[in-house]
Amino acid sequence: MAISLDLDSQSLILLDNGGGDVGIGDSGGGGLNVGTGDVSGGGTSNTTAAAAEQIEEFIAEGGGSLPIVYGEHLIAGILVLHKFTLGTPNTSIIIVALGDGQGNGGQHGEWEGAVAVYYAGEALSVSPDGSTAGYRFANGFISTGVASGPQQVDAFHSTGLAYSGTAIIAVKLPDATANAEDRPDKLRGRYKGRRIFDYDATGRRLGAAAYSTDPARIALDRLLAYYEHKFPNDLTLAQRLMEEKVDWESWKIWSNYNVSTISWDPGTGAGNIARFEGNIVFTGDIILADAFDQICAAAGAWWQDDGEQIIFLPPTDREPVHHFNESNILSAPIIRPTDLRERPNYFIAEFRDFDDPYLGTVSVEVRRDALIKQVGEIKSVRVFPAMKQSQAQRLLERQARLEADNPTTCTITADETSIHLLPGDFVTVSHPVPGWTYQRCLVLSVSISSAEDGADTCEFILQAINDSLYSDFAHTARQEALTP
Amino acid sequence: MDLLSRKDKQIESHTTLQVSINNADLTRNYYFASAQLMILGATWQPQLRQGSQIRANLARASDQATVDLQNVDTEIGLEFLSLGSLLYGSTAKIGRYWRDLQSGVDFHKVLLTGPIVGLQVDEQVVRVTAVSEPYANLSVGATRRAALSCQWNFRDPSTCQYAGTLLTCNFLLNHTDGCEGRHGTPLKRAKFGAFAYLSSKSRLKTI
Repeated sequence: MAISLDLDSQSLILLDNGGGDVGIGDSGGGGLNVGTGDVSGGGTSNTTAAAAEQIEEFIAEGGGSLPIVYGEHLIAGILVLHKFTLGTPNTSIIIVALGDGQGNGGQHGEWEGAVAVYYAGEALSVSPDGSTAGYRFANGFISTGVASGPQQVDAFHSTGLAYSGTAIIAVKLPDATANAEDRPDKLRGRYKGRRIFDYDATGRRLGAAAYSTDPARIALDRLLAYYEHKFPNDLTLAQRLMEEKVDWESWKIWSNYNVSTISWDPGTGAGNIARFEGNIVFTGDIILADAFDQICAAAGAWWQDDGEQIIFLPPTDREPVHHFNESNILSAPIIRPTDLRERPNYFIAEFRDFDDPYLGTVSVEVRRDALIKQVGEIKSVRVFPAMKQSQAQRLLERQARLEADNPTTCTITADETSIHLLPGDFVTVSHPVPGWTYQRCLVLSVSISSAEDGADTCEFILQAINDSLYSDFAHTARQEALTP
Repeated sequence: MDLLSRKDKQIESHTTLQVSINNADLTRNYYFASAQLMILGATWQPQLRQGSQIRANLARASDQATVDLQNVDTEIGLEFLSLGSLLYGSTAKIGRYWRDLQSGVDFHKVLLTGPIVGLQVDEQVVRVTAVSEPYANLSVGATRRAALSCQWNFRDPSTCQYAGTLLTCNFLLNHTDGCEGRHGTPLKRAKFGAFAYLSSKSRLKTI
């Protein structure tokens, strides 16, 4: 039997007894390419960033998926009602579905609210009734009555539906606009997505769901959704299974780390911002592992599945959990520095700037000039979800440290004392072949071979890490907004 | 771990499989290993013939475990077949067990937990297939669509919330076999889980 895990895929491979060893991508030291950006970084964010673009596209014909939205996004939505009445003046009522609220199951997940709503670029105001032009937001609660309880039928279309479980925006266009044209497709808004639960370090739920962009809470919301979708008629069981699945101590450390503030100047003077936020959206089917990948990538974090529980790890330096030396290494390490020509040295990240009211796309870059002088520019372009410039810069610097600054990987075959290691752990290595004495390494992949008639052996791909991978200070002030 | 790091160790090791069925209809646990074992008070039957097999590739394919249990006496096969659909979705735990032959100290580590997704029975073996939970084919993404017909699971207590005597629904808003017949007017307009105006005047006007 052989088991194989790697940081890139979180995969686990078991082979039959006597079935021979299986390497990771296939061993020899170079199987796992850190430079893909998929080691909880740039590459894994691409899907989330693409999803954020999808929800800016107006869907007029129905049939679209109702997205699962966390944090703030610019959304066009799915047109679900358009009622135009000729008259003096004309009236135009538009109802747009923004995304799934409590309809995703579990009696939670309603949205926080609308930040700003625009028609053809003009800001609309909140309408207090069914006759004044403007917008009215519905959070996506499960409706219990037409004119009572949460998510009632909207006054703009009082004979219509409540759109139970769906976050919607109902708009009555201003008279001048309705007289000029009859188009529902110029509606855009910036909205705050799902309210989610918080938990303490023992897994006890803390109060009611509340709006949060903490990636740790987002990850648990999807984990809870997994069990709620699996057991839709037994939410108590779903909650219990979720609680059993999480290593709460590590989760709480990660959550506290994300929400802790750091100092940064967004262009209006230095202030405090949350260290990591997740403005993440899912627009299609996705399995739990991929959802975790995308959520963790926005925070530079890692997740591990130890066989029974999910462990979340922040990007901080952690204590080594194992020491490799000649007494437990079975064959000499194979050392492979990444070829300089394959090592990115110019990193570019595109992202939606959270501090821009319209979430416009901007980019940041990190260069390694010493490497560029040697081999020229080897660019690596990534796309992050919406975030503050500070977060994008810190994440990109972390990618550069992973992919450019620490190029040496090492393949080690060791005895069964290392069977507890998981990708994402830190270890130390002392061995005369690479000349290492307590060299700190990141575990990239694990392959465990077990046989009923012999000792278990473990093969690892490690990455030598010579400095911290993450810094709170790897950011610069944002250019202040200027008036032309 | 201390056991494994001892230099004078003489260890036997085994693969283990635990199958847990826990739902409203049945609660049952099965314990199998490649030798008869006592772990945490449970007896693990020596029916496991072939070590687990889990495969994944670097493109994030499902982690999958395949475990062979002996079925020469056909007992396990008949037992699992009698469970029918209850077996699918039950939880499998695949692990390794180590025991120091000198001191008797033992150690058990679960390597994969996830739902059973496949069962194959022949006269030699019962082959059980499981996937690890994060890779189970159960979407946690956007699953509901903007559609005309109601998408709630009928009688789902958190969405549809119908708790009457009728046991079927055709998911249409104004139909006596649908929302009208279950929730009635006007409550159906609050309870309906879809977008009935999609095909009326809601389409984008092209100028």
